Amino acid sequence: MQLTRTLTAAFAVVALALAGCSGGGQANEAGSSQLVLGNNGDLLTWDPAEMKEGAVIHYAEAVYDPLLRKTSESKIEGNLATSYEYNADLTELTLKLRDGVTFSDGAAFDADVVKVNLEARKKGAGSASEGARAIERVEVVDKATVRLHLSEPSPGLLAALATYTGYMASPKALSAGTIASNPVGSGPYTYDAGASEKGVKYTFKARDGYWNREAFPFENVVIRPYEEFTARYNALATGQIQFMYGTPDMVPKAKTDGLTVKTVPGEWQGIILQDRAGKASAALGDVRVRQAINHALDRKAILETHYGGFGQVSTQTFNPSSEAWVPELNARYPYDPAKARELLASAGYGSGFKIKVSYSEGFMSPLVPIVTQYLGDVGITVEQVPVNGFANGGLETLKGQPAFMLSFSTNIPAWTDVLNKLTPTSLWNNFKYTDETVTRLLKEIPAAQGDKQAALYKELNTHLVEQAWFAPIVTQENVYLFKSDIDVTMQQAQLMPSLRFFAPAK
Amino acid sequence: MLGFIGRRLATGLLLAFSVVTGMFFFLMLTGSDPARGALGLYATEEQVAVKREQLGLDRPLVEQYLSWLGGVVRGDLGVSSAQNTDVSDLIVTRLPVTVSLALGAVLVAAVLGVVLGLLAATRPGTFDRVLQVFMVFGFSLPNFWVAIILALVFAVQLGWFPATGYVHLNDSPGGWIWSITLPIVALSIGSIAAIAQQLRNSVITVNSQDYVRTLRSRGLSQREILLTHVLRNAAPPALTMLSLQFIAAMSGAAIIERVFGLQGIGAVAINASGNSDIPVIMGVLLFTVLVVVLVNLAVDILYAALNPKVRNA
Repeated sequence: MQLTRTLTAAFAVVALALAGCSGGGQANEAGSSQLVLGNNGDLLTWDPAEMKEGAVIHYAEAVYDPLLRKTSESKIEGNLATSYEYNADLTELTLKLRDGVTFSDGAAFDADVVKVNLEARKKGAGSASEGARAIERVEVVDKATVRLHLSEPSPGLLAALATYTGYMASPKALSAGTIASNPVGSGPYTYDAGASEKGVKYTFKARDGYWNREAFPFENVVIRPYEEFTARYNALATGQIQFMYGTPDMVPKAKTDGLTVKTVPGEWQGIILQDRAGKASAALGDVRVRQAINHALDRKAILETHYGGFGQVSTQTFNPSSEAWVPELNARYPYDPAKARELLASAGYGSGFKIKVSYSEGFMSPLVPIVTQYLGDVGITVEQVPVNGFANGGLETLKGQPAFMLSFSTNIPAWTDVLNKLTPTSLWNNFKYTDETVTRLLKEIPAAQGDKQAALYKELNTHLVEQAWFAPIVTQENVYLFKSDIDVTMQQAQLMPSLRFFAPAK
Repeated sequence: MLGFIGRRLATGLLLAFSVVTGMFFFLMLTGSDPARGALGLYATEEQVAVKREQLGLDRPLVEQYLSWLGGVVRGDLGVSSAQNTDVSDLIVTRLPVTVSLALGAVLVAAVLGVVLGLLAATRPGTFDRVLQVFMVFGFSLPNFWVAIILALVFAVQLGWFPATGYVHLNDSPGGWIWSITLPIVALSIGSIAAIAQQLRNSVITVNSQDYVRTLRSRGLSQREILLTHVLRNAAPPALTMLSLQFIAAMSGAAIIERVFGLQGIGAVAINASGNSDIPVIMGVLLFTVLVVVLVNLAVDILYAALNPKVRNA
């Protein structure tokens, strides 16, 4: 009995101690002058040249200012470069630079700094180097003017200069080789290392005298990385953070919890039928087979059941707000298993065939059995090849497969998608396939502008859908959840809305 | 006794050496590419080749291994290939989180497991049966599921504890307890059940032995018999279970850390795995193996202290 009494007393003491601890309330860092963001992951480097795309943009935007910037519609406008102008054949881009801008270490921003930065970006291995690939030479015209000489017209260059390629780092930090660990930029905030803990939280303080202060109303920004969605959601629900990138299945609970939910068209998910010449899978070399695969998928049913309605059925791989989008194309491949079987029979595969389809293990795993079943219904036997992480040699596995399933970004301008998937050197065109029409259009699009360019993009998209280079299923809606004490303007074709689209709620 | 400890330590170190050596070659031969992992998908083949050279991956495998081992002997675990950070610093920085979690869970499991095990063994009937049900229940619940439920109920709904984050002990002892309680509970529930069940069975077995009956007949109190004689003989299996639970807690911590957004060794290991960051993976592995060896050594010493015959084994 004495033991029981001792135990009871001990429990009471612990309970009281915990009650005392919790009496202080939750550690809520959010306030009207502070913005606390939950991020998808940790930052590996502060060097813009080595940064990988995605959610990392918030870390970068806090300290670095880009030469150009994107509107909420992802149109390009001036920033550190107040204006930009191409020459007639689109091989020279002249930028007029803002006067009086300084870096947080006191260094002045001018044309020489732009040259140093762009040359550093070209040498890097991140997405910035991809964006800077067409820049052959940077000419300093005068202190306030810089001219980029391009090896060929590059429709994605302006967008690149609005993000990673265009982030300006202090020339002192670049020459000292310290930029990877100690960010020094001309951006709206400075990194407060003393109030930060690697992997846990990154704190930024507003910079006095920043030229565009009113666009960044928060005095402090804190970014907290959470790899795990559940942890991130719990942090948001309890007020530890104010904003996060979520998933469709969180929406009902988020609404119950009083959170604001906004969505924006994001990635497309489906199949890249990359062996269009039929090297590894003879069947895929026949356009009728690729069209049959498109007809075999009941996109509407998949959208409603697998995606909970968060998205739109799509036969296209471009962003719905981009110049390449053709709404009518989404009606090109209605769910029609009989038509699919007919196409397969006319191609000589009436009794079906087997095909290897690789996919990224994890987030794609639930979709693969659904697709396998639909294709199986028309006689196509899918042999699933799971890939566990591209960095772990998975990319090499994927390269060898005739088809694969992933989630792919959609961009504005559409040229970024062209570079990612359509050229013979594209990361997602591993069989280096092209045809005459695509080759011609990929030459004509960069040399055109305005309506003429938009028409060419649409022609390209129509050709790709007709030739069934891909079997897209849906364009997903990206889901964003945030507390009612902030307002966030959604941004098209960017995984995370830029920092200047965050403001205290009115 | 010193000879016994020396022999056990040597065996443990040999085991650690074998495990890390095997793991090094396994990682290197499974197609992992730390250079690609560090640079990402946009890097050109040329850039990846340069990175491979920088990381020394172009050298013969045995040479790479000897270089890594030489570094370990000098106390240098190398540099993370993905984030250019010293591996030792990375582990030392994150150590307090995981150690708090694993030690806390084992301590809670030991105390509650022993108490519940003794209660179940000494109170047959309904009390024992109810406890048995709870033990089976506790043992069968996956700790990540327990963690999610605890976070949802006690952090999100009731707001008694923080949903995520870790407060360092020297920053605020109260905050530390507050931040680590739910993760410890989630991690320890299975261990409490395992230890309690093991101890209950051992105590019942020992209790029915002749010498205990003899002690009773000599008029010793039940409490004295239990604490002085029975527990001493029933403890070794529970001790083994406790050491196994500590090792399980070290690995289970990785998942619990993710659910509660704690940046411990587990989070480091998972991120390193995603980037094929072999120096970090090896550093974490070496640390974990050494912990396992030391825990086993401590258990062996305790065994030997309880039972002198073990010392000659």
